[in-house]
Amino acid sequence: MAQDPSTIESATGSEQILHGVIAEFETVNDVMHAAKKTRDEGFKHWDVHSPFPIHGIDAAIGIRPTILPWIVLICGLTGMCAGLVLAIGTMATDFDVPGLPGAAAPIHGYTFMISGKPFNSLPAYIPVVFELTILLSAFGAVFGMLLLNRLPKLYNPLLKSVNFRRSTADRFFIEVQARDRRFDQDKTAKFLEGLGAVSVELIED
Amino acid sequence: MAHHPEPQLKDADRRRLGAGARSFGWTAIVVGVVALIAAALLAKMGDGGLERFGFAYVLNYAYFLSISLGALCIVLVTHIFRASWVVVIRRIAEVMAANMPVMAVLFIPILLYVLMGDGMLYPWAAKKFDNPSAGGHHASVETHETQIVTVSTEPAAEEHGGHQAAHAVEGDAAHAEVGLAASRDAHHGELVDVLVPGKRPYLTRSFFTARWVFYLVLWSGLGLFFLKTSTAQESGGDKAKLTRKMEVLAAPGTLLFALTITFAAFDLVMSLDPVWFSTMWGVYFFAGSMMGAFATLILALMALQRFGYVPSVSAEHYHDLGKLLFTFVFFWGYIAFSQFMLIWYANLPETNYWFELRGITSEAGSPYIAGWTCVAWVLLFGHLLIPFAGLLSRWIKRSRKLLAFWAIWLLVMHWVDHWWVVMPHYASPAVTFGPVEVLCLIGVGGVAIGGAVLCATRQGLIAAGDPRLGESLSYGNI
Repeated sequence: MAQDPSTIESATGSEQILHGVIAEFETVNDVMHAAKKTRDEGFKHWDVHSPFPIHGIDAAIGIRPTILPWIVLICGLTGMCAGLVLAIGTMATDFDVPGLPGAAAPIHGYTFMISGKPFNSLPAYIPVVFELTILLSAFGAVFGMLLLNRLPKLYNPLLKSVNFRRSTADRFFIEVQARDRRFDQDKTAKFLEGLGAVSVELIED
Repeated sequence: MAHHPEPQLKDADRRRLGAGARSFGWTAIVVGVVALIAAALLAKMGDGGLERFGFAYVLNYAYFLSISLGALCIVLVTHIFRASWVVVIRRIAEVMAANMPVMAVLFIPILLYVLMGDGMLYPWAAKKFDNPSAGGHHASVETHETQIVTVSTEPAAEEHGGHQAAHAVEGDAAHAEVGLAASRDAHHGELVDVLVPGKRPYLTRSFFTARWVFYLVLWSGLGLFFLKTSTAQESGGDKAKLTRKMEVLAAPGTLLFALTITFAAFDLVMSLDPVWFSTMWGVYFFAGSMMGAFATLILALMALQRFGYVPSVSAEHYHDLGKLLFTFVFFWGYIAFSQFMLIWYANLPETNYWFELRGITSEAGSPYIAGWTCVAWVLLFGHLLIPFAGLLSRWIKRSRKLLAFWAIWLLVMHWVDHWWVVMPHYASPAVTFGPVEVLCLIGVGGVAIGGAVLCATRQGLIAAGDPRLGESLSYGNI
């Protein structure tokens, strides 16, 4: 199925929008080497597809540290504050809202007397605060990860390629997207082929 | 994966500790023994008597025992998981765990206090409880009811837990408060007399001795077995078979470890107050132990690398140790809070006295709100919240300097934890810290560390015969 890059142009329909180029590699070493070269070439919108996680591939692609930890931290702190407001608000508040017409609107917590403890007892609130912190942190981690990865993705043009199916079995792929500023249909294809790709294929959107 | 060559140990990885380490080990032991004698003499000559020395000794013994026990758990659990990342650093944990015979020798003074001290450290060991006719359970409860009333009007009764309460606060205005504390202490002393006869089947001198012989023999056996078997892999044994043997023993070993560490924590620390009980106490002790063991492991590896040993230990391994250190910082906080909350909610006098003695009480004007209260706050922030935030980030765990900083910080906090747990039984509200405690720390620490260093000189510093060594060397965090 390996295509000669010279035939790529003729295969491209004029109506189609180009998605990018994929290059197929046979071994981890090949794809690691190619990934480093691609990174050094200055491409931004590109990725490596592999059937399994490869140690060190993050550095080879030049992936910048994710902002996910900050999202989780903010979600966790939000959960903590929400827990405190919930617990103190429902249990221990007792004040009037000033400035309302007529009788002031009273805001009262339940103020349940539980085994003689003060109404505002932080130790009793900690489990609620803790669980809400964990819950929102977990939501932040899971949904933040999905959001940052733009998942779920119902359509991916790469799946049109028959070759690409082997990326879940025994082949490694480098994908360079057409929206990259350095992308040039011919030059990029040639470049990838020069890195030892066994096949290079143009993908339409 | 593809055709990666199996990573190999560097020559420096096979280097053993030499004569310098041997003389360091012996020096540490000699310094330790001298420090212990000095501490005992200092205490005997007036600074709190042999009683203070006993409590300071128990405190430091519990501290170093917990670190060895934590190391034993690391060895057991990683064998169960067949963890490969740990292989490069496991020998150091094996040596720390195999230090148990030294800890067994160090236990002798505590045993002497129990057998001959007449309840000096452990009130239940007093001879007065030996005579069964000294009061059946029911009779005692009745007299107890009436005694409470009389006791509360008495000034400072010489009962356990507040020996020095009367000396703690000076001045007339403070006298009423001291009276309150003294009556609490006296009340608690009454409870000791009432409740200990009921706990006698467990809390007797002979059964205590038998239990500790069992614990120390078991721990020594486990510690030495894993060290010897792991060493045998290097000297031509059937590697796979020996690994299998260790994995098979690790499972029942973990079970026995969990039971013995729980009961040992009950015996060694919880029974300092025979009235108080907490079913979470074993886990509390365990959580601190694991944290202490990981901190010690990190520092030991860094110290060895400073002298050019074990160069193959990489940031990846430190990163994992840092993660586990972080885990047990939080686990300790989780357990400590859970234990506190249950006792706080139930608010029963015989259990909340334990926290009251340590300065945790919301009672306005309580004389116990003093130095130990500050220590409790230090623990909340220094043992949980600050290191939690400090160890959260990935880059901190991968930075040697910062990881070393937090490991030292947490070892100090681990000691403060034991100090706060043990010493209020000697005196509260007064905080006891002085040369006796420091000399005991140097003493028990010198012997324990010296023993571990000597043990480390007897074999290589990396489990070079482990079949998973290659995996461990090429290990990387994603």
